[in-house]
Amino acid sequence: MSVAIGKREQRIVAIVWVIGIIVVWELASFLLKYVIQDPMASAKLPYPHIVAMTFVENWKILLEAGLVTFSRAAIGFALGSSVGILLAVLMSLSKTMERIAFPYLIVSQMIPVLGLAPIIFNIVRDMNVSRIMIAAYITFFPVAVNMLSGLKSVEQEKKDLLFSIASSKFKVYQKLMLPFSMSYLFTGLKIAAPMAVTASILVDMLGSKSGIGVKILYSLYSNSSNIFWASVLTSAFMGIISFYVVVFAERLCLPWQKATPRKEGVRA
Amino acid sequence: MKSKVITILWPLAFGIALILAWQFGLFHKVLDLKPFQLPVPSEIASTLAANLPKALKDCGVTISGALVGMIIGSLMGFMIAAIATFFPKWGYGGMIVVTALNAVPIVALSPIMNLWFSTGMEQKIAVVTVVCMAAMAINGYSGLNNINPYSIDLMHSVAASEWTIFKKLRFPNSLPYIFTASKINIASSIIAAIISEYFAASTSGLGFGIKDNLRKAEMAMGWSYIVVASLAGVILYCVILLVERDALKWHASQK
Amino acid sequence: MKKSKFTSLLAVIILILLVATGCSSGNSAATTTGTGTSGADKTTSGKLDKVTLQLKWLPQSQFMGYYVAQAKGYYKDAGIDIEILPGGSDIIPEQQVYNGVANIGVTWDSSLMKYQSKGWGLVQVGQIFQKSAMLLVSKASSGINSPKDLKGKKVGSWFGGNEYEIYALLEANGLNKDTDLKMVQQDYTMNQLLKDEIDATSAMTYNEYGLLLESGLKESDLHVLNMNDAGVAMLEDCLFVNSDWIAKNEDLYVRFLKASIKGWAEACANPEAAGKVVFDVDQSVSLAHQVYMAKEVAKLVVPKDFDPAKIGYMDMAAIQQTADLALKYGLLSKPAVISENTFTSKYWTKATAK
Repeated sequence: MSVAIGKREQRIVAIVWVIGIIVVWELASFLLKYVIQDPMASAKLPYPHIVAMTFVENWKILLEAGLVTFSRAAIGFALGSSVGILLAVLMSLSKTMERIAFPYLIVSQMIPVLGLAPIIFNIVRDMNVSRIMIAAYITFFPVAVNMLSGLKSVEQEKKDLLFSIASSKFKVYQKLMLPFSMSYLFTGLKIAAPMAVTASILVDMLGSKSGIGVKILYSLYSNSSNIFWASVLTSAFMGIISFYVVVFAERLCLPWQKATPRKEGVRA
Repeated sequence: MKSKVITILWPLAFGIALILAWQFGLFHKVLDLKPFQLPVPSEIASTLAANLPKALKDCGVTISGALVGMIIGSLMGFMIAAIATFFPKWGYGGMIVVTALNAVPIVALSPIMNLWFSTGMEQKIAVVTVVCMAAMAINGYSGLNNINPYSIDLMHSVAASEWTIFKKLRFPNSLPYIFTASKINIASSIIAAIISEYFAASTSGLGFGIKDNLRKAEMAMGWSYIVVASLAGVILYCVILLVERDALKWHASQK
Repeated sequence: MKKSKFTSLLAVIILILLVATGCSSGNSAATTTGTGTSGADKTTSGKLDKVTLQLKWLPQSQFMGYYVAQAKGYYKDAGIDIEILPGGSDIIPEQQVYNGVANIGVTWDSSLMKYQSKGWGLVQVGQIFQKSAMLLVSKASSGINSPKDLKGKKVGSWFGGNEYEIYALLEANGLNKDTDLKMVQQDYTMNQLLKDEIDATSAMTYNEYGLLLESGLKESDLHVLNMNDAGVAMLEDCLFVNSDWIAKNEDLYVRFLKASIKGWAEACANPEAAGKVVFDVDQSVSLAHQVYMAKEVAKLVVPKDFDPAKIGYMDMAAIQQTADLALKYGLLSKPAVISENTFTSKYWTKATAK
């Protein structure tokens, strides 16, 4: 459906969206402040132009912090998604494995950083390594779930067919299962990418001295509402960038997804 | 019947092995931990038993907030995906906005929602809603759009409307993706609810219990709350699995 | 076609790995500037001993003495390569010091007592704040002039161990914390009081009270209940170490304490400058607020009639009062053991000896 949109049109759409959001936001802030007369208006929803000005005034600090956070997010994402893919393949290899592992993967997601961090610190005893491990820990789950769904969505008939021509398990994975699950995998990666940014911001707060998380924490607790919002906006930008990195990778890897009709459908 | 027993048996056996290894100090030895850093299962269990009514009440507060937020968030996420499907040119921007929201950490969302809402429950639902939107929107969009083009051509050839295509083709195709998103959201809604409670204007909920007790060195109490959260998560996950099994009888993943 | 899909998977994995390696090199640069750890530092500083200090909270004038000592090179003069780790809402100093992530930590006495009672081998080795900074602040309009007026009100606390002075205040005034009023968790901002969602809020003299003033309220708009005046003060910022670590590093700690005391003395004598030093470390918080905080903290470290040469002095009576209150109001389940192994001033004596 989204085949026919040209580059120029895309640009126009994007510009309209950005302007639209700014106008709606500006309007909402105005309503809050002057029509509803909320005394906390400037903290609840500050004017976007004020946030933008803060952004411009502090662009250097925010950019530096953003780079630290983003690079950590990238490592966390790479590590987490690799683990996620690996776990999914393992679980798809044997139903028993899946049954054993899946409930515990859910459990793993229920342990908050406050409980987990001291244990990881205790094992690793290095803050930087611990931070990356925690970021990966938060990121792997959606990738594993999506990838597993993809692997499981392969029809038995197709598997049987390949096995019937005496393909090895490895061949079946190589030729059928992995290619088939790519669209699920990229969906998972698209969810995981902004989550990796979130995770990275969270680990910034684990005693780091730089990063967007630090800016958010400090500004929040010192009532610097404008810097806080500018930092939140920075994290949202990073989310969008990370999302587009995955979309771009998807186009590179699965060029047929959008451009040409796909040979095999997901429909059963 | 036999397969059903096995379904439960394997993870259970694994769990028991895990708990035994934990109880008898294997973890503590390997990871160089002291029992007062990470309490052993028997201590957690006895603490939990002693505080069961309170723990269950707190669990109810957290899980109800998480579920309401997850349902609202998932519905909104799917609507955004549907809009992006019907109006690909203009609607896709909504997906980007959701993605951007997904990169805002709960630690920042919670204080914002504290400003917007006054009770802990409202704040929690709002946080969980935002957290759950993206997984559903992105999965939903994939499900609504990764469609066999021949099926679409076929629908077009019988002059089916976009709405019919959505109903008969896109929506059924998106179901496996919706369940995938729900599995992710079960986990993220509970943890989001817990973290939002760190900052909430109330003194109930699993999150408050976890934070308050872990900070005060009441490790057994804190971990018993984590155990309750985990159990709730696994139970809800099993519910999703059962619903999925019913709803997706036709799909390859269920065979 | 399928072949190409497989290669595409390979490509994904390679891409992921590339991103990882690419960023890890970028990151290592970021982390060395960020945390200034190991590696390069060691080679340049030669024989300096490395010491890591874990703060209880964010880098702010609350900890100005250490930052001043660092900026003025007092630690370096004492042969110490100091690294100051910021705290945060997910960081528990007691855990960090016990784990060995940090050597020395800053925490509150009552919290430390709780960890000690649970078996953590930690020992208190210096008391920086001599007074409690905890306030219960309400708007003048809510008519809370004395603790008794809290009856039927909503009172905010951070909990997690910060609630016991308030419990003590309530009970000392015949109020039951569960039935006579509602205790509510507050986040780390002052918004709940500003929005009138709670009637009284916990606030530290040096931080949150200042935030309320900065948000436009005047001192005359606010009513303050001070824990020191009410006789329910519990001690706050103190220094503590792992018992095993101190056994091997006694001399190192004494050198650290000596340099820290020098930093604190200078900071308290000139809070204005100390605030600026902290502001230069991290500029997220405004200079004005850091200076305000420095001035307030100076009053806690060197109260009226307190000899600045005695900074870090451990007032055993005050420590005992803290322990008694912690026991009475339920933080501790058994009386705190206050002995040479848990609270010792011997290092302080050495550090302040002429």
